[in-house]
Amino acid sequence: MWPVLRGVTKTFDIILAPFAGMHPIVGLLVVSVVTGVVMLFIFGKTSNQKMIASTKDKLKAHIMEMWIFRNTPSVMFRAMGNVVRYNLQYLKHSLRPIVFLFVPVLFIMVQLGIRYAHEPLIPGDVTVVTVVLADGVRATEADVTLEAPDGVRVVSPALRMDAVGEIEWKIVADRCGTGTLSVITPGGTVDKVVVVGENLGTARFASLRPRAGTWDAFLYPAEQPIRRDSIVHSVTIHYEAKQGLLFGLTFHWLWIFFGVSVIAGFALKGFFGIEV
Amino acid sequence: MSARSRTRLLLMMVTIAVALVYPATAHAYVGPGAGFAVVGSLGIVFITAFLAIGSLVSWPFRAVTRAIRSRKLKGKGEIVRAIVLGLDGLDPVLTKRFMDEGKLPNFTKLAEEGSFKPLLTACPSMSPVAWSTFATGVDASRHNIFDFLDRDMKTYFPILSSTRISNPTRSLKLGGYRIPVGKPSIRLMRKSRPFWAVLDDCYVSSHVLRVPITFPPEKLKNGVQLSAMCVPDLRGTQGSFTMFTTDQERAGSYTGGTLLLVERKGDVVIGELPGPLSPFIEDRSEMTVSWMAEIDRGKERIHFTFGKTEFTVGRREYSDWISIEFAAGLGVKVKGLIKVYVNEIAPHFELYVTPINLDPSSPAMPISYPSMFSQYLAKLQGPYATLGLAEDTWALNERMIDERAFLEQTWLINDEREKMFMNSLEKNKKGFTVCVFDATDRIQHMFMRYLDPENPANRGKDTKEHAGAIEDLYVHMDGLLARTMKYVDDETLLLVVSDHGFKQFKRGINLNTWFLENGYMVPKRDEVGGEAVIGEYLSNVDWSKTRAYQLGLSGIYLNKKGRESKGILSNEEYRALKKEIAEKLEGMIDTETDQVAISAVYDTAEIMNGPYVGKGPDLIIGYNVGYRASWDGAVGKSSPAAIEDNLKSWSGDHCIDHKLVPGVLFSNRKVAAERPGLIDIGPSILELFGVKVPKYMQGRSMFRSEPNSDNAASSQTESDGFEKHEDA
Repeated sequence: MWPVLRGVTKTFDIILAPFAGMHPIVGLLVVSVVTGVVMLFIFGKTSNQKMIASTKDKLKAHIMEMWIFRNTPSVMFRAMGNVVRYNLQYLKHSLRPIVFLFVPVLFIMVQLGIRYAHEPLIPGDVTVVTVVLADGVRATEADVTLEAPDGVRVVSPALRMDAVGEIEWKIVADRCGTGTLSVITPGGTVDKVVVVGENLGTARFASLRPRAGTWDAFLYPAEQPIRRDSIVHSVTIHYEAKQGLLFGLTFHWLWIFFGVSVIAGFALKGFFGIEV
Repeated sequence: MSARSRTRLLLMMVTIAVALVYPATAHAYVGPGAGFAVVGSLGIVFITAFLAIGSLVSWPFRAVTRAIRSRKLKGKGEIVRAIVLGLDGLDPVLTKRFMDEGKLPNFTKLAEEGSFKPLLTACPSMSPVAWSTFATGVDASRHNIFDFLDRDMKTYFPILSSTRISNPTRSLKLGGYRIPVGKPSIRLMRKSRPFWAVLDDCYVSSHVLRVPITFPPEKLKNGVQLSAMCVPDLRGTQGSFTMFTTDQERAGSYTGGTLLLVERKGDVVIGELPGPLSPFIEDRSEMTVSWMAEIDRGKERIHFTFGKTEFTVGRREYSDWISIEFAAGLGVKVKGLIKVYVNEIAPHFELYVTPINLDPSSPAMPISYPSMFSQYLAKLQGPYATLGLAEDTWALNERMIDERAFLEQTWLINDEREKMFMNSLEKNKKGFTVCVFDATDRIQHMFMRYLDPENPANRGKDTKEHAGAIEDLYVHMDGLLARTMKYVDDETLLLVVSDHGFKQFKRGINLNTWFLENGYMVPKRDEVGGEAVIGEYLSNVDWSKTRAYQLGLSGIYLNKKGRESKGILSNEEYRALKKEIAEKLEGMIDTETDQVAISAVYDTAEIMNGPYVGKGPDLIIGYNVGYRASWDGAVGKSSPAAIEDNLKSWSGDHCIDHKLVPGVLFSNRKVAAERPGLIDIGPSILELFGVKVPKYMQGRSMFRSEPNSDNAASSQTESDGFEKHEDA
């Protein structure tokens, strides 16, 4: 799976390369619009367009019916019932394209996630590094230590929690740069990239380095997953969520992606002659 | 559901379920794909909830207000619902004949339980006049509709009597564009108020579907209206077909449409469908839509690309309604609907395209009230014909399509009409519902010749294959009645009404030719071989010497000084001439058949006294059975003979002496009046609803007393109206 994910990640690196020096919103908007169009096209090809059009017509008719016959409650209630009925039918007709869209959208969103989800640390930031241990390994007994690269310091002793099988450290970022935190265990060292800097645009990094063979390994493809035989299950650096993507306002990147792609799809459906 | 489908569905459900129950990946399925569905669906839920809450919260207040106000305005009625099934042109004689033969069980049942009578029609007996009388309860001199056509008193040019459409007078010029400033004006010329407007005042809801002369639609606070007769096509005409053919021998000029030659390359034919004139282009050039036909000779199927729409039809099959768009410029698009029908693919390719109907989903002109109503019907039941005279009688008249194609078209339109009627019956359980069906009129116009072997229109045409078309029509309408009667209970009034009956149309009388021959009309110059002729729309008339002219299907106009722009007759001359012409024409004998061709001539001012009497024709011709205004005469043109055979497929008519073509009246309540008329329908319904009949209405309730004996518009036929059809 990793080679596939790495290939996809490299492809996205190439796609987003032209936007590297720009505000991160530019790349996100472009990807969102293109995604909206591509998804629109897939939606059109994989759905029963005739049935969707007919169901939508019925829906609109019954909504108009509610207004036209607003003085006749019995007609209005029946129209409401029909709106619910055809709405469910509309969702039913949308299921098939949703299934087809599921995989490509998942890949796109994962790639956007490792670029737009978090802000890197900035010098002076204090954050927590969490190491989750494999099942059955007691945190208080495990010989696990953390080493920081130049420009980052470990500023607390390890906090070992048997109840959840986790060990935590506090770290402080001293200067900009990309380095590697090393989680040293008897079976070997597990690395985790740590990014410190400002205005890094669409720099690719993830808060989590997961274990191979898990769902998270698919969702966080910024780094190669941890080997399955390691006593470390995952390493997490608690970065802040990305802020100020849109005109300085705080919007989760997902909302921007969702809104822009859907708006693009709706805006261009007439042009492509696709019913959504 | 097949096992494969079940597996697919199961897989889909599992995938969706996995996505839904895995919160960490929630963002993965809320992508654009699902987003389209979710946003659309949530939007609908939001709108529905908004409308529902708004309507429900305000409903009690509105209901109380309505109840209080309506109690002040109307008394306790005897009915809570009235249904009028309008069957344009249903003939009492044919109806009785088929009833007697046991072919119309539902009409028979209704007649036995209630009443069946001939219904006095309007004078003159044509649909726009008659349905206007039905709507308003007054005669033509009060509702101002005397014919399909009126004349412009300045130019003598014929104009549509019911509607005036005018473009904005001011415009802005921008390069090659001309942008109109303001809205076009569309005015209904029918005067007086329809009885459903009176019901509306009293908070009785009305559904008025396809009643002629309701364009543009009038506002109803408590009801809906869909316009009919006189709604134009997208080109602004009353219905213009387009015929494309590779057969050069058919090239020529045709009435009611255009024939265009196209070239065939192998099995591909391309052409351009002419549309309306661009409102924005400086030279008002015609907009067009390109089309291409790819013919599969083996399967006899044709794949069409019409603008952006692709579809396939078989030979001699109607397409569904096809939506087409004309680019008017400046990004504006005008939408229309057409059906196509391929007559032949070899040796010649022949494609018939219906008139371009206004698209009810996005009409270029107002065709319903509320405007949303036409869209609502289109969304609910699919696209439908909106043209006033939707069934293309001209295409059959000009032999662009044959009888089979015409019948199929008419029944398809009739089915659309029935769907909207049934929907209204379902929705409007307390109030008034009327729907007029035109198939009865159109089929009788075009197939009447089959009932009379002597009709000249039979020459060179099939006389057997569709001999049962009219009987089938009546039987079909009996079925429609049965479906309507399901909505009738003790508190419902059901009326089946036709605006006139039907007779054979064998011989056409051209009164302009008669006027020329008798010196009442003078041409400007002799055009053909020294003979005096008058061109279409009264061209080439020397108005300084002309005293009388014919225009439309029954009217004679005198060239009166002070009224017509080039009038020459003083009041005294006018009165004398009216008398003179009436005396000469009444009882006119057709020398070829020795039959009376004109049974009566009515002086309009003597039989009517409403405020618009002066706007109508001076004399109304009452043609005898078998006769009618000739085709040329109706459009103001002279012809070689004053009386000639009618050779067109249009072989039945009713534009004759109104006393000879009563309509029908069926009622589920006993009708007390011996001689009810169309003029009485409105007042009768108002009274049963407990609404006071307005004083301007000339009709009286037919359930109470003998109505309107003083009214010429509903002058009684001397017979019982059921006399044997001379040809049936």
